Amino acid sequence: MTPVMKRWIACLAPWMVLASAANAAKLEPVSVQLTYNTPSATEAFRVGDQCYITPKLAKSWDWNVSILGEEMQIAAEGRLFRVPTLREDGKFLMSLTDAARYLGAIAEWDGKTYRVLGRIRNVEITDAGLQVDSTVKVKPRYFRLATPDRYIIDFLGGRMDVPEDLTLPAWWRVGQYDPNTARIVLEHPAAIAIPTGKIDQTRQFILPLPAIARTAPDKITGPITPAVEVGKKVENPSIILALPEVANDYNAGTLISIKASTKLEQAPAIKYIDPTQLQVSMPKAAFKEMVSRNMGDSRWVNSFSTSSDGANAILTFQTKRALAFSAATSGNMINIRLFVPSSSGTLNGKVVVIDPGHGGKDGGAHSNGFSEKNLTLTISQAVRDALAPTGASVIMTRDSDVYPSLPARAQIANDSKAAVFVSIHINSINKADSRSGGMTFYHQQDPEDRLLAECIQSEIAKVSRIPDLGTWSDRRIYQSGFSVLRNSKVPSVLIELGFINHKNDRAQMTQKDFADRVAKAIVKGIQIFLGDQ
Amino acid sequence: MGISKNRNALALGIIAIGTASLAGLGIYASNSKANTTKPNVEQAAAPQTSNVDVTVTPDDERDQTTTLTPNLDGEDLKFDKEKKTPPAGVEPMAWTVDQYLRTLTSVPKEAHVLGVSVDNFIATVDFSKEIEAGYGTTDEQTLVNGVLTVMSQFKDVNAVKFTVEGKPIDTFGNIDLSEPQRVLKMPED
Repeated sequence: MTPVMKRWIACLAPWMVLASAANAAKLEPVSVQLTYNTPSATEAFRVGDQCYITPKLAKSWDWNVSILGEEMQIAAEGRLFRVPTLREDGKFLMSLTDAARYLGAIAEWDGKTYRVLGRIRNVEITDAGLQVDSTVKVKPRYFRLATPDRYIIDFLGGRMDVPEDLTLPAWWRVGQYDPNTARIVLEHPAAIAIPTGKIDQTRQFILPLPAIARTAPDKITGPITPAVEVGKKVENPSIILALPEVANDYNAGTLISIKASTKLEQAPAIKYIDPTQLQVSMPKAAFKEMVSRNMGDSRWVNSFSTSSDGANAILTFQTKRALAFSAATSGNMINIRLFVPSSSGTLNGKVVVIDPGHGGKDGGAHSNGFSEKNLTLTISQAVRDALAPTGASVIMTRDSDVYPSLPARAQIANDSKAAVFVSIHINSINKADSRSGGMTFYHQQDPEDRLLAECIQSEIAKVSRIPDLGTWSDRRIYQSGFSVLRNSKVPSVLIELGFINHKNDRAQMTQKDFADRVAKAIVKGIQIFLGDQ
Repeated sequence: MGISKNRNALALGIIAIGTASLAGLGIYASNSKANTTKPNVEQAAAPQTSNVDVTVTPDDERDQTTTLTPNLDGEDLKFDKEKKTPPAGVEPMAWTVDQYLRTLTSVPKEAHVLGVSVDNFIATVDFSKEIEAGYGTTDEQTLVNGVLTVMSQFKDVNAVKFTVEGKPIDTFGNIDLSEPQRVLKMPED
């Protein structure tokens, strides 16, 4: 309706104007995801940063809602509380944001979806077994995965938020599988003996454990693994894959071949689950056998397992050290090369170039009085200090508030024949508080850069207390990538530790011990890359 | 490391010098245009007090341009499009880029486009000095890729050269801007 038409109608029918004024209130329709419940695409609205819902939606979750004029009384999750009523557009709405606060839930916007999750505050091993406490009901399910044998307990609708000083035996790990699912992993041969299944939603979960799960297994490997669930078969696969075989095994790597039933049109997708675990997925394909076994003939690969996620054939390799990879298809063969990076061995005597991002005339990202160039210098100096005991010689591209050009920074790495080049940055995004997390960039598809990024990012994620956004190719940002990564000829990465204009990331990055914690993680990541452990 | 990392520094230098001189010509051309055939809005409103001969095309006869707003809801940068008619008497390319700058919180309000000139399919977009404000990676990507996408709608523009007050710049933080950057495809409707 144009403004001119509105004026005409105003003269003729004043009561219609009232109706149109009410319509003018801005309620932006959004989706709501309450824990494990099916997301609702209706009955929810965004007003400013708050999410409002209709009592009808709340009732669909078995919340008891009574409208008491300006307030609504809500009985939910064994608690009774009141939230203000919003009357808008002829609707009575309640603030889900306020309700989530009363319930102690995690509440967050993810684009046009408002997510409310149970905050998992406690995970402990008691005499009764494994005990997990959440503020809001979550839905547990448990299953087993192979290679290595482990037992997975997922909490649908939960967010892991346990204290930093949580003490669990080392063969127990906690983490987040995806934004809506918290995960606990028991990596132990005894995992085979624990039954699997689902139990009803609950705020307190207790799983009785066989006695052996309380004692340490022989070997403990990698961090929490977001692996696929075994057993979902691909419907009518058009390609049948034989089990992988070692085609060539040599001092610096191994070549693995997989024979397919037909000529292959596309290469498989490969990603790291962690630096010593690689996952290969091949669409519309299935392995003829689902197995989990040792890779006897290889110096570099411990074991592999074949499985499926319902859409792809999945092959997982467990390697003896962090390896770079490349893959190609030729006729009906998939060839995967796993190899030791060109820089390897101990850090002692090697050159490491640390590049504190920006500097001098270029302040980089800035927010709330903090400047990227100052934070990156402080963190880089902490990395230099953390490298000192290893015997590496460290070159800083800058050690004060000056601006070396981007090509000059890469040139330092090339001229010094550095083992690795690590550029340290802090991110910023157009809308404050809209994105949180850290990632590490590698150049284009460079396999060694990618491995280094994986090694460093997975160590940073363990200590930074900032969400882990994983590793990214710099091609996702620019076709030409980043100048420092493109121009350096040694293994090189660019770390974005977090968003300076997100309040949580900023609070973490400006804490006193942040630089030391992250510096140690970066050094550890470099050592994993080099095989110096 | 891969072959893609090897670059010829000499060739780069020649391109930089070449485009610097082109940029200089471009600024000269756009300044002289401002005094003759492209008056600003005030001059257009009072043509009798100006000694410049002015013709103003009515709104509905002027070409519309596509303006962009960054959309960062997903992990990767996208854009929302809108058709708008540039005001009478302004240079449409510069105006459209300026419209984009105004959607970016990281770009200071004072930063604006001084002029755009096109030569041999390369557009030189010249910014005022305030544009060099310091950017985090995602903000730099939003600025650079937004300008490269906005410019793709104009005929005869295949690449964009970024300059500040007539001088070529190397980067806004991470990207190598010493060479003209190929324009990026407009999102489809």
